[in-house]
Amino acid sequence: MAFTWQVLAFQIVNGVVWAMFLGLIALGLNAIFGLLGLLNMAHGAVYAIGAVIAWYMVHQLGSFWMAAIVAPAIAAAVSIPIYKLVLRPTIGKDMMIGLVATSGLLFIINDTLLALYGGSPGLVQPPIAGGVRFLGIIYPTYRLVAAALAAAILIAFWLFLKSTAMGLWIRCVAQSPTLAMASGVPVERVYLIIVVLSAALAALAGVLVAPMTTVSHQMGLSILGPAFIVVVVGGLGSLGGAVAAAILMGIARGVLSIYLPPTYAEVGAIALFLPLLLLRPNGIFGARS
Amino acid sequence: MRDTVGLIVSLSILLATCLLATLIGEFWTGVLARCVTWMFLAISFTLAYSYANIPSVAQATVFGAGAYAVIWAAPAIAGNIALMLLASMIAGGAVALVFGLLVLRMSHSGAAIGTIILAVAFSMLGNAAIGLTGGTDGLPLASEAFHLFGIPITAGPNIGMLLLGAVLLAILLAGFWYISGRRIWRIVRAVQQNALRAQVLGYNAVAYRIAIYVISGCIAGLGGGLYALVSRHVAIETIGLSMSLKSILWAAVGGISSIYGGPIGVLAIQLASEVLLRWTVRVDLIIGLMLVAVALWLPQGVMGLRTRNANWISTIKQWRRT
Repeated sequence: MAFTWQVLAFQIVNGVVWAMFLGLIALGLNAIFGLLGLLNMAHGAVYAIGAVIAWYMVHQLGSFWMAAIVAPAIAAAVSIPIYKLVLRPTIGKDMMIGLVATSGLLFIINDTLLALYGGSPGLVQPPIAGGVRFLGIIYPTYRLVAAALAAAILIAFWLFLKSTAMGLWIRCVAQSPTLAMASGVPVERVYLIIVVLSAALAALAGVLVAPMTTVSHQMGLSILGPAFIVVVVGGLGSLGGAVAAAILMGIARGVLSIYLPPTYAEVGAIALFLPLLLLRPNGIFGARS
Repeated sequence: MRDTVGLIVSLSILLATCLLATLIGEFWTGVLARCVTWMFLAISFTLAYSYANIPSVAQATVFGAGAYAVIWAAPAIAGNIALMLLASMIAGGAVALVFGLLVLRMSHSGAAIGTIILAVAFSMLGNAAIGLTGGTDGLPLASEAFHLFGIPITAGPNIGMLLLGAVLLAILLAGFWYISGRRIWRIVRAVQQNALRAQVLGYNAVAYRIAIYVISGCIAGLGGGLYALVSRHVAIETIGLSMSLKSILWAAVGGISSIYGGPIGVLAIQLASEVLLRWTVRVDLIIGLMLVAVALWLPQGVMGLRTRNANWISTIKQWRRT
């Protein structure tokens, strides 16, 4: 791709747009790690469920926006028994036990998606056609609308954390579950709500991203790397840090993709962050090691 | 402390595997030969996790480095298996050194996430660099007159490769048993249990952890090298995150705290998968269910059952005495 200011502007906007979705995925991953202490390997698979549901809704019912309601609702409903049967018994145990359990969920979800959806990648047409002219470029309208929606959800989640009783409970449990329990905070309910919210947000991210990429049963695996690096660079447990890191990474990927093929650009963006982890192993916004 | 029972159990399993291969057909001999190569991977994960304190979710990447090293080196070293396996160990050790230096300063969870990132990044890179890795189609092993110290060996899923893998694994397990009774291993254990305390006592905890992780990388690389010789073909899925997760499953089933558990875990899971494949194609679904079941009901793995049973027996004895 030849360098022009228009191409640079396009890629930076694209990077910021992509960062909103990555932030949405990383938010749940970070919240589950911060509160439950679990490395949720199945989080990317829930994102893939969202994308596959979007594909079905568009091709079977012809309604994309319905998927934005149905997919998070299904993910939230399924996450309740999964929390009670699989995740709850692993909380507070060795990290590897949680990793093994959630890896099991990843295998189960991926193979179920393969059985139901098949192995061929599919395309979802954007529900909003056309483009918006700004900064000397024409940018697809749908992407801007979807990114705005993702940003609005991120802000709503932040407000939820800062200004509701449940948000206060969540912050208490993140700091010390024992102290929170002693103070009368329903820790179990907080855990369940975080798992449900994380699943719903990941599925919603999958729905919103579906018209921008190819939908496949394994798309959750490739998002795990960028999502985890955003969580680590932002600082484990820091929600604002994760969003900031997602934006940095999105822009880096966008700028690199001017000079490199998309996969190399993605790996290059990850590689750019690795030296940073050597200097600050607990992330930019995390506590010093 | 030396775990003589663990060594005897794992060596017996290896012996039984080799004996079984002489009785069953060519197909199952190939399956068993591949299982032996994966045993190196499972053991390397246990070593990294339990002794270097690095929960490495990128062990398959290290394994794949060894496998690709053999594929790339084969034409240059004219079928010399000893040199090929040396190349695979060096490749595995080098990749582990780089990974170790990147994640060593991170917290326990941070290191796990760091290795997940590395596994995904290398998998994506491998998929993109088709010229180098062959992508999903993979690269074949060059046809050479393979030999080990002058003795001709046929590469492929055959009894010769199974025996070679089993002998190398037996030497590795016996070597570990010997080292685990030495003073140096007590230092490794001290570093693993409390790195800061060991550092204060004058031991270079960082150097010990890196050394153990590099050794685990050499073991994974060696397994990868053997895998390339057995399969005569390596594809990018060998280094993927799914493969790393399978290695964790094998280690977890066998017992994540004992390197002697790896062979049990690999045989139990892989033979079950091969048998199940005759009835269903949904093997990944079953592996997923197994992972969940192991995490919930068998977190210490098969080798951990010995400790659990020993605790039961001592409780009963105490109860009888009172």
